[in-house]
Amino acid sequence: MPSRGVLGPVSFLSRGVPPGMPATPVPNTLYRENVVKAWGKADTVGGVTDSFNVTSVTDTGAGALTWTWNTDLGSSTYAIIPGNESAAATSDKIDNATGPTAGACLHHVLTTTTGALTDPNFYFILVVGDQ
Amino acid sequence: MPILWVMPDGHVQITRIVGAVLDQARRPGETTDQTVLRMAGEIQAKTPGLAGGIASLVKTADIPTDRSQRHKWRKSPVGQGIIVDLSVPDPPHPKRLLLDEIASATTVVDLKVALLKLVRG
Repeated sequence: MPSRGVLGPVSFLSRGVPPGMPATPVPNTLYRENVVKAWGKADTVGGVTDSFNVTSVTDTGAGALTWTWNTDLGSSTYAIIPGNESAAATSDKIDNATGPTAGACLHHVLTTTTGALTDPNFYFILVVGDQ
Repeated sequence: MPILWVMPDGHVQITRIVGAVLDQARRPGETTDQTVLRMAGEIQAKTPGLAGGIASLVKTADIPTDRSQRHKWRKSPVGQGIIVDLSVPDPPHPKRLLLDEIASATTVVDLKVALLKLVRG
C-alpha cells in the first residue's frame, strides 16, 4: 500500500509524494489516490483511438474487449468505470470470471433487452486506484 | 500488425497494441513483428482470458470486417488469416431458460410467473 499524501506539481513529476494525506481529503486537491491511472477509447476494428496507460486492447468476441495497462495497478481492487457509444440501448459490465487483475480487465457490452453481448461503436474506460 | 490468439477451444482473439507503446518498446535491431511477438508474451501474462492461447501475427486485411458471426471466427487451416467456420453452432439465447419456461407453461398461472421473470430480469 503506497503512502498517502498531497500531490503537488513537483512531487508529481518526481514521484515523491509526501506522506500524510488527511482522512478527510482537502477539497480540490490532487492526491496520488485520486489521479486517473488509465483511460481509453477503442473499437474492435481499429483498436485504440486514444488512451493513457493502455498497452493494448484485445477483441475477445462480440461485445467483449480486454484492456491491458502499460503500468499495472497496485492490486486488482481498483475502480473501473466502463462505458460505450452505441445506437441501441446497452449496458456495460466488467467481467469478474477472469478478473480484473492488476494489469487487465475484460469489458462487456450487453443489449439491454436480451442481455446478449453486442458490439458498440466505441468502448470507453476510466480507471482510478492505487498504483 | 495485430496478434491473433488461437484459444484451446478454437475461438480466436485479436490484440492490437497502442502505436506509441509499441514504438517505445522496440529494441535496437528489432523488427516491428519481433517487438509485437515479444510483447504478446507480456500481454498474455497479465491477461487471464488469454491463458493457453497460441499467438501469431495476422494482417489487418485478413481479419473479417463483417462481425455478425464473430463467434464463428477461426484461424484459417491454410495461411495466416481468419475464416468464418459455419459449422460452429450459434451461442444459446441468453434468456433460453425463460423462453423454454414460457413455451412449456400449461396454465395461465405458470405463464404469468414465467412472463414476470422475463420482464423483471
